[in-house]
Amino acid sequence: MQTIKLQSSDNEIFECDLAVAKCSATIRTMLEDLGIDENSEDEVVPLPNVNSAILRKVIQFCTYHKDDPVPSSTDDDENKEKRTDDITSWDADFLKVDQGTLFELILAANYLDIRSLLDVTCKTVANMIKGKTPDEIRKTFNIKNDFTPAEEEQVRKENTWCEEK
Amino acid sequence: MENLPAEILMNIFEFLDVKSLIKAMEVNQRWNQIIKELLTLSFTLILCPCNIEKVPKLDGKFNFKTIKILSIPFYQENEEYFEKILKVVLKNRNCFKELIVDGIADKTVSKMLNICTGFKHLQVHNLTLTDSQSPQRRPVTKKRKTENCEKQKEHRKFVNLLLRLAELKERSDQNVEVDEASNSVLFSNDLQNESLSSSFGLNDQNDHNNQILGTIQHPQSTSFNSFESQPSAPGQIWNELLPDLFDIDELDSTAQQHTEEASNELQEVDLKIQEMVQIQEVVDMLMEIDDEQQLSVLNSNDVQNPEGADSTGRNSASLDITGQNLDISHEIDQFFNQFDESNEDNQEDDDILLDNLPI
Repeated sequence: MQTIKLQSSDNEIFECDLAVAKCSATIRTMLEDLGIDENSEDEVVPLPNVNSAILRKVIQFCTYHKDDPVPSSTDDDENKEKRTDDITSWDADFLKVDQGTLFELILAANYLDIRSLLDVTCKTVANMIKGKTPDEIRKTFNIKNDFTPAEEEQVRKENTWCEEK
Repeated sequence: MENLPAEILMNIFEFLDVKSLIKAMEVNQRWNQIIKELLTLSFTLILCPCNIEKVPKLDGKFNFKTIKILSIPFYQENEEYFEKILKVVLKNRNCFKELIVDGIADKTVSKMLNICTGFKHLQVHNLTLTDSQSPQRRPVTKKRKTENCEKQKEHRKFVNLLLRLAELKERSDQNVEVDEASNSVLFSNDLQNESLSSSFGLNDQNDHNNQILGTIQHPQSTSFNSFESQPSAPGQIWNELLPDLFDIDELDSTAQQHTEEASNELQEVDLKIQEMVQIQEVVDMLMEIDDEQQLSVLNSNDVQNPEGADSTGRNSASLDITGQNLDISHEIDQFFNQFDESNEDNQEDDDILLDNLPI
């Protein structure tokens, strides 16, 4: 089994399967650009935007999903309805983390270009938003309301068309 | 959450349903702006007549991908409510890139559509012309139906005209180098119909018009250089445009009237030319006879008066001999005087005609 070494932003080195690492399009590109092939044993791939805690989680996710079919990015898939109720139980358990970790996972997935991880984390956040009032959303994510009362009223009026009769 | 880049937030918002998305717009200004930008990318709003039973439930049924085409029904029974919704939508118009409206015949929709067309970024499509079979449409009265038909007819006519203008403009741009010979068409028998057709702006393909124009019969193959057709490209444009701009029946009657008048004038000129030719022939014949008679008289005088001819006697003899011809010459002079008086206005044309006479 061929392995590769990944170095986190806090200089921790993780040795993982090459197939797992290649779940990340960013790592695949780096391997090609740096000329690191399967025979290079001592080469380390630096990942300065991902800390060790998040990189560990990412490797865990990729190890579990390494044999999943690669999702296509055709126009049909782009136009397909994006559902949020199709998260597997393993993924749901995997993402039972605090919001900070969840958002860092989103950022890491975006940086490492791992589409499946990005989708499932975004779905999780979307599920946290759905069905909530603006005020509940603010409380959930600790977001400050920077609307003036007049602006807030104006936005609310603009959006009344969406309210059911 | 506030530190997440807009790209990530857009990824998250793509999974939201319409109602949640609208609620998210009210969270803070950043979210509001991002969602508006997100929706502006590709958001089609469809307003169409619909029964209340068919009203789609917004909650949980739509997400970002499906709300790209959001159908909002309006209720014939409650126009005020629909108008209110549409006004709110229009106030929030930056969210919408495309608006499809069905039911232009409806007073409220028509009013709203006029407002919508004022927004440059909003592509407004009216489905009424293509989908007029909506069963939920308000009962149409006879008067209203007539008005609608006329409006649609005018609209189609206008659209066709614009399309044809665009097409012809493109074509004329391609035909920059127009053959000069085709710009100056001699008014010959063969080209007369074409030239008149160009002048009247009638299409050569219009058989009915050609039939009318074809009644013109020019008596001579005389070239009138003063007649020039319109340049070919603009003439072609007018040929194709005028049937749309004017009533073709009216044009037909006008063309026929002008054709008859021109034909009558040409016939009159032809008659005058023929008379002049005949008169000239008679004059020539008489002149020849007169010369011969004078010679014979002179010869006879020489015989009768070998000492010297008396000019008075010669003249008298001549008068005696040509007395009959003098009467004819008088008639000729009288005719020419009448002809000159009656054609003072057309003197120049007559000169041209006379110059070209084959005599």
